[in-house]
Amino acid sequence: MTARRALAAVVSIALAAPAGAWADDGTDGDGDGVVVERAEFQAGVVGRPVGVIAIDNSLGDVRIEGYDGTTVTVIAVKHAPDAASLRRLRVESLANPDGSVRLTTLLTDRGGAERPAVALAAVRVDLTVKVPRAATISGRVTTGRLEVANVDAGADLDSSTGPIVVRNVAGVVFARSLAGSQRFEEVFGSLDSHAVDGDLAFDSVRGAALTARAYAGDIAGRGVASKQVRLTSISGSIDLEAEPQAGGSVTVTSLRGAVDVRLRGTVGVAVRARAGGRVTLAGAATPTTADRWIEARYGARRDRAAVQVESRFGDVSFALMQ
Amino acid sequence: MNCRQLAAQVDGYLDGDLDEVGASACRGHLRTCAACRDLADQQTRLRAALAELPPAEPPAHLWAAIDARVGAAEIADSRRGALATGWSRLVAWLRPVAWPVAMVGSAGAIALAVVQLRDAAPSQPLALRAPVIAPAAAPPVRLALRDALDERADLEREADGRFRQVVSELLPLARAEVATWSARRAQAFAHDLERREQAVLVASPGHVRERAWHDLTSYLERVALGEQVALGGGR
Repeated sequence: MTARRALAAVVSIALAAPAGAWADDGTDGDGDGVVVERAEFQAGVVGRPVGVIAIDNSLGDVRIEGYDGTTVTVIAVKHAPDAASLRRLRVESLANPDGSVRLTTLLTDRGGAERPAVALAAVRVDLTVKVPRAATISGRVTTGRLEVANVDAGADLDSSTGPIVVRNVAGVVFARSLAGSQRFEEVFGSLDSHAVDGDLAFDSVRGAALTARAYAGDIAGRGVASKQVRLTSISGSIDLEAEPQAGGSVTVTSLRGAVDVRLRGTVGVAVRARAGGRVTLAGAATPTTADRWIEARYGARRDRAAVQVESRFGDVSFALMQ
Repeated sequence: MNCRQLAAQVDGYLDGDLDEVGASACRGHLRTCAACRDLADQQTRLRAALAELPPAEPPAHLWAAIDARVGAAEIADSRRGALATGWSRLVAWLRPVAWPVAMVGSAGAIALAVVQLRDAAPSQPLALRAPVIAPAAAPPVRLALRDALDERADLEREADGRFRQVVSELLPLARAEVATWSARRAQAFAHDLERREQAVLVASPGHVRERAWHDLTSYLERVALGEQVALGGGR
C-alpha cells in the first residue's frame, strides 16, 4: 500500500466508524445484571463502491444481509455484566480506498478495576450488517451464528462451533466449520462446504458445482440441481434428493455411513453403485463389474448424467423419482 | 513523625485519606527513612497486586446469610427501647470520630448501657441484643476465576485437539489407500501431506489455523475415499 493509500485508509477509519457510532449510541441496563450497548454506524469510503466486506466476530453472532443500497450499515449490540466489562468490548471498522471494509470485534486485555476479568459466556457482541448486494462477503465467527442472506457476489465463511446459515445467495460460496452445522437455502452458484463434526444441509442449490464434505456429520440435500455434485462423508450418512443436469455428474460417497440418493427430472442417468452393506438399485440387482460395482442406465442416452453412489461399509440405496 | 507513627498511618497515606498536614509529615519521614520507604513500597506493590486479582463473587447463600443477620438485627432494633436505640445512634455517630473522642463517647455509652441493662429482660442474652451490623457499603465483588481471553485460548486448544484427533483417524485410512498407489504417487502424497502439516504448524491460532486444519483434513478425506487428488509432489 502506498503512503497515500495508507493515509486514505486511516482517514476512512476516522470518518466511517467512530463518528457514526457516537451518533447513535446508547447504554442500557436491563435490570438483570446485564449492560447492553447498541451502536449503529456506516462503514466504507464515501463515493467508493463497496467491494469485499470482511467481518470477524469471535464474540457473538453475525448477520449479513444484502440490500439495494450502496452503503454498509452496521448495528453492533454489546452485552456485558457491567460497564467496566463492556469497555473491554470493541468493534473496529477499517475502510480502504479500494472499497473493501473490515469489521472486527475485540476483547481487550484485562487490567485493574477499569478492565476486570469476565467470563466469556457473560460478554457478547452481535453484529447485523446491511451490505450492497454486489458486495463479496467474508465472514468469521467462533461460537456464534453466522448468517448471510440476499447477496449476489458470493461468500467465504468460517465458523468453529457456531452454525452457518446461507440463504438466497448467488456467486461462489465457501464454508468451513469444525462442529457448527451448515445450512444452505437457495444458493445459485458454486458451493464448497466442509465440516468436521457439523451436519450439512442443502435446499434448492444450483450452480456449476456443489462439493460438500463432512467427517462425522450427516449430509442432507433437497432440490440440488448443480451440474457437478460431490458429497462425501467418512462416518456420517448422506441423504440426497437431486435433479441431475445433462452431461453432469452426481458422486455420493461415504466410508461408514448409509447413502440414499433419489433423483428426479428428465435427464438420462448412468448409475453405478457399490456398498459394503446392501445395495438397493432399481433394475439392477447383481454386480456387473469385476470390482463389485452394480451398474444401470435410465432414460435417454444423450447427455446422460453420471451418477456414482458408494458406501464402503454401509448400505446404499438409489431410486429415480417421477 | 517517627517510624511507629508512620507505620500506623501508612495505609491512610497511601489511600489519600490523610489531611495535607498528615500527608506532608508522612512524605517528610519517607524522604529520610529507608526502612519506612521499603514498607511503603511493599504496601504499594501489595495494593497493585490486589487490584490485579480477579473480582470474587461470593456464593449466593453467603449474601443470603448476611442479609438474614442484618434483618434479625433490624428486627431486634425495632423491639428495643428508646434508650437502646439512642445508644446505637450514638455509637454510629461516634464511629468516624477520632479515637480520643470515641473514648469519651464510650464512657458515656457504658453508662447508658448500664442503665439500659437494668431495663432489659433478664432472659434475653446480651449477645443477641441489637448486633450492630453496618449494611454492606462495598458493592458485591464478582468472581471470574478465568478471564474470557483464557477461555478463548482454551477453545482454540480444544479445536486443535479435535482436528488432531481427526487427522490421526484419517491418516491410517489415507495411507491404506496410498499403499495401492505407485511409488511416485505415494512420494507426491508424502510431500503434499508434509506441506499441509507444516501449514498447520506455522499458522497463527484461531481461524487461520482452523483453515489450515480444514485443508489438511479435507485432503486426507479425499485420499481416504479414493478420490483423484491433484498431487503437487515435491513442491
